[in-house]
Amino acid sequence: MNVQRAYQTAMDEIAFSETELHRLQQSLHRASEEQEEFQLTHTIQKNHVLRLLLIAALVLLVAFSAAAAVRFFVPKKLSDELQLNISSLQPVVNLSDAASGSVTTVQKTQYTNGLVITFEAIAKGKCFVENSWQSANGGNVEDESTYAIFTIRSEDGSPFYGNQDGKDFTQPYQAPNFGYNLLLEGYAPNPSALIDHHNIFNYEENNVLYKAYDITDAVPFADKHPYIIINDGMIVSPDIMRIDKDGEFYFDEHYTGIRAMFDLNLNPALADPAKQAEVLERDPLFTYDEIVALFAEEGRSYDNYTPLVFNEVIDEDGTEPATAQ
Amino acid sequence: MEPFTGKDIDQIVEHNAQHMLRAAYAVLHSNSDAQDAVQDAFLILLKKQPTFRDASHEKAWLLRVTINIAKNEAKRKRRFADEPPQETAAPESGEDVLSFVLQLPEPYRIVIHLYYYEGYSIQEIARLLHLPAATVGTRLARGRKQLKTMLEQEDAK
Repeated sequence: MNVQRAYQTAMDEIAFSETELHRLQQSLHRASEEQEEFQLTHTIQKNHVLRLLLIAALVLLVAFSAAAAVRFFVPKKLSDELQLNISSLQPVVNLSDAASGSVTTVQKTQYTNGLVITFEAIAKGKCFVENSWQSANGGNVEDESTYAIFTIRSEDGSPFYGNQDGKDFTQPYQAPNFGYNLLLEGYAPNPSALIDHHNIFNYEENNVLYKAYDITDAVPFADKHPYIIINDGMIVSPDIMRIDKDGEFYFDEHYTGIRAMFDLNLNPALADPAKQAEVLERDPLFTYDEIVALFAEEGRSYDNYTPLVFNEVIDEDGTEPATAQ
Repeated sequence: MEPFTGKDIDQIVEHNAQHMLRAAYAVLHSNSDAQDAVQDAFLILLKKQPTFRDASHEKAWLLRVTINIAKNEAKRKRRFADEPPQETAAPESGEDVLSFVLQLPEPYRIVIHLYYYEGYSIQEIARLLHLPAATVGTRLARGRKQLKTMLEQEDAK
């Protein structure tokens, strides 16, 4: 039996009837008309309110200009300086959370392929500004998950998505994917062990692309020196990422795609051996045959792939993986 | 930006509604809930009035919004339901395959649907769902493995 064809045939029977489709169109016409009426009324009211506000602002400006002039010469408070350090995160993170220590700032930058990639901070999902990440990505940011936040800029300042409001990222054929992988010191690179079931969130403002990568499963490994890799390939594999004799990761010299590697620099006190074991005991990831078959289906070759799995620990000489105990 | 005209709305519905319904059905297992998700997705479209590069961009955007609405609805139902959700019987043709796909964990069946029904590649699904491509590949591989096991067990009966 051809599974794909059987699935397609069965799914084809899930359909709107002609009547249902017509009803849907009618209800959308009504909604569109109501929305136009609302916008028209709202614009008239808004213009009226704006005029009143402008007059009030002018009166206030005249009344307090002397006091305002004095205030400009008052030295900045410490809290203001702290806010300046995290101002680059203003569009995506609540500054009050950052000031209270719920957001750990990192601010390390790397340059690759005409891009400036800055690892800005680590933050819980609950610290995110709702109107940015969540409206742009469908509201799936998890409050208790931990995210590594990056800003990515083009060196020439050009936008990444260039759409009408910078908030739509569903463009499957253009901008780089900016995939990510997490690596642990002493462990061989693995396709997806620590990022399975995790999302990437996007937000673009003023040609700066903000990315939030879920690193929740890396946190329990805080004592294992986790790194985050940003690349435009599908999977971190030996043809992209190599390990030297000291166990240090580095990008293969022949790999020319987007590449940036940052030390997550997590507090070792966050290490959790029980959770580490839980992650290690997950289902096996790709086998070599599975990944080759997947690539072949898409007309791509993956000849250089060497099957390395997460629970393989690099031997002391730093070259050959051995199974973890 | 010009608001959508009645003609635009009709065309967008005609081109995309059935695809959106099937994607929502893959998440919700219920035709009526899936229809509601599609309607909500179109309402978001009217509210945001996005500009699309081409028809494939429009479809990808609508699929993503529909899937998100369906996932949120499924989550809401799980949170408030005392009993597990009642699943609608699958149609008769290809019944086994569809019903088995619908038994897979939600993340697997969304990826399987987009890959097998809509014909997106792993990279395209990754961009559409905002997931790492490696995760999409893993879900696809695991979903297929589970599906194969279920079909083999069915054959053995």
